[in-house]
Formats: sequence, structure tokens, C-alpha cells
Amino acid sequence: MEFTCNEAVPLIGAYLDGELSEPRAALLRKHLLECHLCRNATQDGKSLKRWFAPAKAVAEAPLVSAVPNGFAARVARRAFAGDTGDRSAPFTLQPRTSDGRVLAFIVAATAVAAAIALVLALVARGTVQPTGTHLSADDRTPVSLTQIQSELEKLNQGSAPAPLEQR
Amino acid sequence: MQAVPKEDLNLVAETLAGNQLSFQLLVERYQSRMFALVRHYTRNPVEIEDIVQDTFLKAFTRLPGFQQQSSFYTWLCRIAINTSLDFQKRCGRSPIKGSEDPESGLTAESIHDARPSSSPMPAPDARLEQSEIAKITHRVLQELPEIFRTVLVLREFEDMAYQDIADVLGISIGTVESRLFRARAKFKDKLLALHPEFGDGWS
Ligand SMILES: [Zn+2]
Repeated sequence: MEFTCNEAVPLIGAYLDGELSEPRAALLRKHLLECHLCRNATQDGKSLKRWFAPAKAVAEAPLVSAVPNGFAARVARRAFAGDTGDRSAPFTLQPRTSDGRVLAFIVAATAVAAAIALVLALVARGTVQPTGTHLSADDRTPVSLTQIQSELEKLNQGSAPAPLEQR
Repeated sequence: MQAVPKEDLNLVAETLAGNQLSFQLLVERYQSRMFALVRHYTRNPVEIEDIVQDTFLKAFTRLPGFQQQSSFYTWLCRIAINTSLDFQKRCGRSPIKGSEDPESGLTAESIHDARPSSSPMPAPDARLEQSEIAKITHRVLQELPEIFRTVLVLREFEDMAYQDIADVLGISIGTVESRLFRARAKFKDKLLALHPEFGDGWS
């Protein structure tokens, strides 16, 4: 049996990756000896790999520093606190079936409304000047957006299933 | 398929026994690689951090079901990719760009497209800086449908064996092979489309 070009070409990548089983590799090598077009295609495959090697080296270098300090400790803490990482529900604050969750939602919604009202009031009084993407606030600002968010997260976690302590 | 490093298994067992520090060590071991992997799906640093965090949280939740036939790393990659794609869906970004059907098989035409008769694949010019080459490569990858980008990333950046890629994506080795073949043809097409000057040889 011999390969045609149509059979040989799709195998060249796997061959260069060292992933072609020996019987097929042998047939491909035989075809390559006889077909300069497919030898060119092999050269193409090698050229393609040369686009990835530098990208890999460059991508890896700055990434060590891309991981924020204390990331692992924080994730481990959250995991053991019962955060499942499942954000599949588009709005995690939507009231669900249990009363506790409805209550959590109401509390959270009230908190958000209060916070927004507060921020608006501060803006109106001129104590907070929105500049660019940040709300630059003085130290009298009682609630920051990140605080609100972390409060909401806590409320969500409160209604999440118990952590995986049972074994 | 490579064997699971003993230390990973120890840390997994200790985590399951309730040792938070062991889980933290597992996260530390793989966090850089997860940040690098997720970076192929979004460039927003905040989103990357969220996705990697959720990846590890999901891994923790599913740890009791971790099948030790695959490496912890391979298993983690599968969760990270799925989390990235879920995230994009929730943000209303379709993970598959373009209208083509990426799963359509190897037609005679698609093979013919990759036939040696078409213009040759350019290699990066020696005068280009490494960082410039990297930028071009990433740009081309971003333009590919997710299904092709993922398989190229796992092969060329993560150096995964075909069997590991098959495990991560839940597909057969034959599908890995044909998908990589198509992905490389797409990469070449997109590279030449974005940089036609590379097509006629280097002046
Ligand atoms: Zn041929």
C-alpha cells in the first residue's frame, strides 16, 4: 500500500509532532522520498513551528509576575470556606427557592440601593469627584465599590452549600 | 501518557483529608501555567484572575472525583478551558468566531487547500525580534475559531501529547490529529491574510 498526497498531507503534522505510529510513519517517509510537493509541505510544518517557539518563550517570561501576590493562599482559603467557583447562574443574587436566599437577596439589594444612594449623595455634595474610571474619594467615603462587591460575595457564599468538610 | 507525579497525589490526598496548606501548594505549583493558559482566552487581567481562581475552586470541589489515570495538570487544564469558555458565553462573547462549522470533517477540498501547491508557509524572518514574532503569533491565534486555537495552544504552548489533548478535550486521538491539521492550515491562512507581505518570500 502506498500513500497518495491526499493521504500523506494530513499526517505530516502528526509526523513532525512525533505522534505518528510507526507503520504510518514508514508509509509517509516512503511517500516523502518520492514526492517533492509533500516534502515542501513538511517544510511548511517546520516553518509553522518556528512561529510558536518565540511566542512560547515570550509568553512564559512575564507570566510568573502576572500571578498576584498571595493568590494561592487566597484561593485555598476560599475553597475551604465553601466557594465552589461555580458562577454558572448569570445573576447569583436572584432569589431562589429557599427563604434564606430570598432574604439574602433582599438584604443585598437593599445594600446595593443604599450604597448607590450614598455614592450619588456624595457626588451631589461634591465630596466625591468622578474622575476617569475611578471614583476618587476622600477618607470620609464610607462604602467603596469593592467593599460592596465583597459584601455581596459574602452574602452569596452564605447561601452556598456547605464546604466539603465531610469525608 | 505521563505518570502522575507522586507529590501531586500526596497533595491531593492531604487536601482531601482537610489540609488547606496542601491545596495552597497545589495552587502555587500550577498557578503560573494556568494564568498562561487562560490568557489565550481573554487578555483582561481581572478576568484572567477570576477564571483561574474559579478553576482552582472547581478543582477543589471536584477533587474527590479526580481520576488518577490522567495527570492533575491535564485535569486542571480541562477545567480551566471549560471555565474560560463558560465565562465567554456568560459575557455574551461567542467562543467560536466566524460562521464556519469547525467540526465539519476533512473534506477533499480542505485537504486540497493545504496541498503543497498553495503558497508556502513563511517562517519568521530572522530580523524580527522574538517579541514581534510572539505578538504576530498571538494575534493570529486570537483570530482563529476557539476550537482551533485551543488545540494549537495545548500542542504548541503546553507541549501536550495527543493523548493528553484528547483527555483534556474529551475527543479521540484521531479527532485531535485532524483538528490540529485543520488548525495549522487555518493558522497559515490567517497569518498570510494579516501579513500578505510574508507570502511572497522575504525581500
Ligand atoms: Zn505527495
